[in-house]
Amino acid sequence: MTKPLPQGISLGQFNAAIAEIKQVVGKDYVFLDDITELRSYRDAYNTTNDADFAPSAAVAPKTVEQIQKILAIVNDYKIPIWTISTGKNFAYGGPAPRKAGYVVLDLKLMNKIIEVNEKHGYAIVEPGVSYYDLYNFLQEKGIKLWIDCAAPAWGGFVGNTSDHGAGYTPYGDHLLMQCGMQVVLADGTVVETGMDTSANSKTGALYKYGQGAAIDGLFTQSNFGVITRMGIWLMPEPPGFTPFMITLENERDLETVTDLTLPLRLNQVIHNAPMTVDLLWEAAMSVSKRQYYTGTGPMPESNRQKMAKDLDLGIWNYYAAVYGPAPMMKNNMEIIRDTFSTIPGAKFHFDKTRKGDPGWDYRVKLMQGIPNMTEFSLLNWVGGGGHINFSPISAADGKASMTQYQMIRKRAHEYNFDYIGEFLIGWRDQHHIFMLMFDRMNAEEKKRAHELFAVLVDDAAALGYGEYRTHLSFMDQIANSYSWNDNALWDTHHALKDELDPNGILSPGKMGIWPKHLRGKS
Amino acid sequence: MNKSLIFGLSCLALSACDQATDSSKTESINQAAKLETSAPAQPTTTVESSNRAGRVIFELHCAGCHDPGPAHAATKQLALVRGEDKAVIMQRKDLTADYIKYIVRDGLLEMPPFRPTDINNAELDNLATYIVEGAKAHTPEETK
Repeated sequence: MTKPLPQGISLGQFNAAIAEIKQVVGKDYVFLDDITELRSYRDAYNTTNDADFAPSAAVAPKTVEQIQKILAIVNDYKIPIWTISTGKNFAYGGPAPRKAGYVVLDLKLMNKIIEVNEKHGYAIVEPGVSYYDLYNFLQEKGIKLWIDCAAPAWGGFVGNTSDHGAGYTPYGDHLLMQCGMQVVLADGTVVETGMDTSANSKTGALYKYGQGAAIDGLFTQSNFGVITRMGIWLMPEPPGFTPFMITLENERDLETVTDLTLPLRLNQVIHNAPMTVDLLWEAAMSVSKRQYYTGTGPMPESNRQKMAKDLDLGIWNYYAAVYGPAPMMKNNMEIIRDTFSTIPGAKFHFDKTRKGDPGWDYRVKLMQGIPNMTEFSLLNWVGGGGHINFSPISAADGKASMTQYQMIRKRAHEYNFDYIGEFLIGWRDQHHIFMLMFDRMNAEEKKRAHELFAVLVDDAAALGYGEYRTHLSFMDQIANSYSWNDNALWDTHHALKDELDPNGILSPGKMGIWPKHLRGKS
Repeated sequence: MNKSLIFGLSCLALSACDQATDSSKTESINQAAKLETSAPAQPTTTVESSNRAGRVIFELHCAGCHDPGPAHAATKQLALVRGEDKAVIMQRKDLTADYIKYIVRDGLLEMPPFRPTDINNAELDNLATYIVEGAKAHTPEETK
């Protein structure tokens, strides 16, 4: 196997750069062996080939100063690096770089919890801090603050937030709950955003904006700098918490439940982001497909109905929670009951009757920020583990939900895959996650999954829907769909890229943002 | 909260950051410094000295999917495709340390690989030993 190298870089240049980087971080923190070390940096769940995303090396700095020195070296050699935090961005590429040959800048060892402030409800963390790390720390110290974690909770705050991830407590909009960050620019300059502009600053994790342009967002889903720490707001443990689930019997109920939710969400009667989860997603927490259907292609309706009955699940399963003092929860729950009981067949479920069901238990944990890995059961649905997420945004509107659902389900069935999905209602928007599951050992299935995804991007764009986040393979295609006014938005991204990173060393191609010399060549 | 204290420790964190190559000045995140509940956390880190015990690594990286019970994805799938007796890795006497180490670094079907920054080589040895020894010590229910 030939060593993957950065485009345009000779083995001699690569070796010389690596020798210099070893001087900075020490040889034990430079990983070069393609088999024993770098296979752990591949995207195990890709829809093409491992080789498409095989890095040439990985480097794990421990300090900002080391990052500055590494950036100076790769600027000299014009070697592209790909920054990761905890490297668990699975379904979107995991730790793997956009192109073969990049050097992965792995920040996992920068894992300091720099500050936790219980009174003001925030933490400041480095990129390597995982959800489990901070949760365990808060538990150990008896600090009454909750985290808000991604569903598989081995990821971390900086990576997930900077990829615009969402969670399940009232603090689920992760970027909204971010306050202040430290960034190293390509030229080594260290910038602190928001209020952390003076030596006397005491409000860096309290007020987001400071004076002048609020630039934090520029460093998310982009490649304009390396985020080295981040302030995150943490929710004080509330006096009470009432999670609930409503099972819905009919496909069309998706429309009704979405429309009924919006006013409750806008007025904060429901405090977290409600999720409308389809039958198969829910069922996958308890069973695998083969237990109900051993044929090929999507599970037939009769099998679905039997499974729903056996597991006491709906065609849609709606999860949300209210938080606060008992009288407030009681009032809100009355409104919620009155609202959703108007849907024929809607059935409420609570801890009392549902506890012990893995699907219920993990949602309840997520809605109070308790990290867990149960959602990985989705990977068992067909077995083989392959998965990528197609994630379009829509209005929190019933008709839009149905349009997206029907469009994706029809295409998925056309390509012989199950529709497995969930809708998450944020403030006014709706994230729709279609979990495209395939056997990663089956080349034909991978190819078919890849083709389906590409078609879905175009279908969604034709209807005016854009995706909020995507896998390495589809970043360019989706970037092209954000093309209004002759690509004005991407021209702006590229103008910033050229100014902030003239050698194009930082994560080239992240979300379709390319340096000048690689633009249009991917 | 004493805000000057926040700032003071924030500076300390920055300087600690700069000095983090000195492993004697750092400590594992799992042995975090004592903390008043409304005071800033002391800087913590895992760097050169990181040699966490097998049990610590297992709980952090493996237990979420491999603990017993239906909430654990790997246990459930192994029960289905390999049988109940092969479901819980901490109870399996057929796994060798070398096999465990290979799977951790390479992944297997649903399981993704773990990088040397997640689990370094010394810790991987600890983990493999912990699983193998733990399984040896396990007594199946029916023989208890």
